[in-house]
Amino acid sequence: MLNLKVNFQMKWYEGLLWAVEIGLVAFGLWALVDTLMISCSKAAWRFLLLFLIWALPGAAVLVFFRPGRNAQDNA
Amino acid sequence: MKHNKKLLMAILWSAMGASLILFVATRFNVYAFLSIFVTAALALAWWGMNFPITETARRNTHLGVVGFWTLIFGLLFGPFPVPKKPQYVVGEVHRFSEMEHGWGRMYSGALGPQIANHGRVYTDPEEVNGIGGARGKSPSFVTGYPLARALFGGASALDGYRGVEKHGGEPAAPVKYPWVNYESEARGTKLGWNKGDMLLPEVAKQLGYEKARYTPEENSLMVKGIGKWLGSMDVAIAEVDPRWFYSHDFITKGTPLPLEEVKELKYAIQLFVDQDWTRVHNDPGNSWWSVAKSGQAYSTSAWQAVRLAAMLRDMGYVARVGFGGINYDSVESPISVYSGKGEYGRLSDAVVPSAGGLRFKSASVLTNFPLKAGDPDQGYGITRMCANCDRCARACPVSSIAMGEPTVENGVNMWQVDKDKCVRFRAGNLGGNCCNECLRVCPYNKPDTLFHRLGNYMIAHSPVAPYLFGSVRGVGLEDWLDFDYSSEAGHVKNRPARWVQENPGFKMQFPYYVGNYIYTEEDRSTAEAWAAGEGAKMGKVGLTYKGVEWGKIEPRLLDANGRSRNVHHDFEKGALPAELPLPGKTISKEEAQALLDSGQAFAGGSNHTDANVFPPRSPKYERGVLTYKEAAKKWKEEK
Repeated sequence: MLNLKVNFQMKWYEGLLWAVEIGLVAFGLWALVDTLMISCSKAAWRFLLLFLIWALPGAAVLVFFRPGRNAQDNA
Repeated sequence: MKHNKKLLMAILWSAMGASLILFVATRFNVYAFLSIFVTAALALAWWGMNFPITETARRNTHLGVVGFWTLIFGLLFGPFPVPKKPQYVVGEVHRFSEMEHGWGRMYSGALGPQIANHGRVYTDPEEVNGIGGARGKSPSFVTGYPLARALFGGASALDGYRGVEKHGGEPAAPVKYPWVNYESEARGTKLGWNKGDMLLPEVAKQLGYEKARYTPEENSLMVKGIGKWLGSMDVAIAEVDPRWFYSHDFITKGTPLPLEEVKELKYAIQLFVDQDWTRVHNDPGNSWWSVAKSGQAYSTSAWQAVRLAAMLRDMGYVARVGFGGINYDSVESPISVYSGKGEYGRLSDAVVPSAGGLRFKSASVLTNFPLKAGDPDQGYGITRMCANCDRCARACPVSSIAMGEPTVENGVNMWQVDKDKCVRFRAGNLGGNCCNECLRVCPYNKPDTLFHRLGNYMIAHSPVAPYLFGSVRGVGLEDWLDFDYSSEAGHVKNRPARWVQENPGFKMQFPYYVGNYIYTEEDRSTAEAWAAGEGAKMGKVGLTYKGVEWGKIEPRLLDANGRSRNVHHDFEKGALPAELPLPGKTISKEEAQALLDSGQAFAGGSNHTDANVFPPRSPKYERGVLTYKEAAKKWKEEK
């Protein structure tokens, strides 16, 4: 029997950035679907790409900005 | 090693800074804009991967990105006030002669015999004789093919219902002089909407009572409800400014339309019919569908307006109908603008966001039925958007749409389209029967989805959205997204721009007398030399410009001097003869003056000097600077 235990925790400011990132991707998906529905497939994919590009800096922060073992916490 | 890491990080941040500088320097180029985000992401990733990150740095970068997007969200979606609608009227405005607009000038022969006879190049001689002979008219780009003929025919069939003679209780039969008000037998009796005077349920719900009281507000709600029921995308209601009435009628070739006879008409109701997103989106601009979809919208809007007017007449009120192609009594675009439904755009036409931007055709009912008009000051940020967007001007095959700043013509400050060039290309387009390009590329031209409405909201409210969506200098976001590509029809690649030209050295002879009207030297087209082939390549033939390709003309369709031969693309034998008759004739200045003085002929373009306007202009409305509100107020008080 698989006993799966998920431990999830985040700081309040991480939650805010996740909300922004999810919002950007959701907006991109809405743009994708809406624009596909009006037969503009090229614009649809570019719309999605636009929102993904906008989401890149936030994603870089979420993924790579983690305190290292030797980091000095001056907070 | 560490030095190299730092160096690369400095390079990445510099790249981001350079993108930012480029973005501003190129006036919001979309590629520079996207590069800012990509380089910022790379720099942040490199930083995070290679340098120690403190908890403080982590928190600050998170909040920095969140703060940035909060700011952007606020700038794009914040409830900033919509910019005030510009005061378009800045000088003396004269009534516009219907003989003066592009189609009036072209059909009447004022632009030259070749374009006036353009219909002959669309069909073979047998068809030309068949169409022309049967109707006593030359064929035109509209009547040359069954589909266009059928779809425009709907409007022609309804033309009789604008007349004074009755058929089945309604006005019928085309009349020689169309400036008439049909008076219903019920007039003066003032019948109600229906038995029991019940309001439409949605109107009753909105007002909180069920039985009609005939207040202007209630009347407007009912008219809007019925208009939408008839199929109109939206219904505009405005108080009439008498300068909207044409000064001379086209159908009867120049008959004057005196204001004294229409003093009862205080309100304008405008109905909008979509030319259809799929047709407009998929039309390559040189197609044979173009004018047919125009005909469909004209015919449908005509039917709606005729039905609405019939109802108002039966209720006992005066109702005049104006519909397209060319059966209007008044200019349509100011009704859209001053009813609070739209604003003037770069095309010198009204952009109405609730009717697909420019994609509609409208018909109107002028009446004395008491109505509550829309707010004439209601803005949408359209003129501001058009100042930042030149997609229609770029797309125009003959450069007839103005780039740059608005200019003043006939007292109105807005972009002015070169109507002679536009109409010569649309009527004389040898690769298709119309054009459609300006409509197709307009950012407002989208189906009415929630997502598109959000875009319209941003353009109206946000101070940064117009810069982002339509950069007049760089490649704007709208360009990059490339809505031109249709998954149904593919990409528009080849748009050969060819049009019926006049003979080399052609110069129109004035005064030119046609029907009841005399065109004078003041009516000479500024595009006359161009029309005869001089500098005609200022059209975008063979060019690629900002991503739009303009096809090359096949050599067989050019004469020895490289001029466009007036021959249909698919019909090699059908070149127009060098000499063609004009619908009217050139007369001497003395003859013209005698005809005008004796009241046998009329004249009067809005650009004419007062002495050359017959009959004379209204001293009350066509002298001095009158704003829309001032003119409409005066007209409302006129008994």
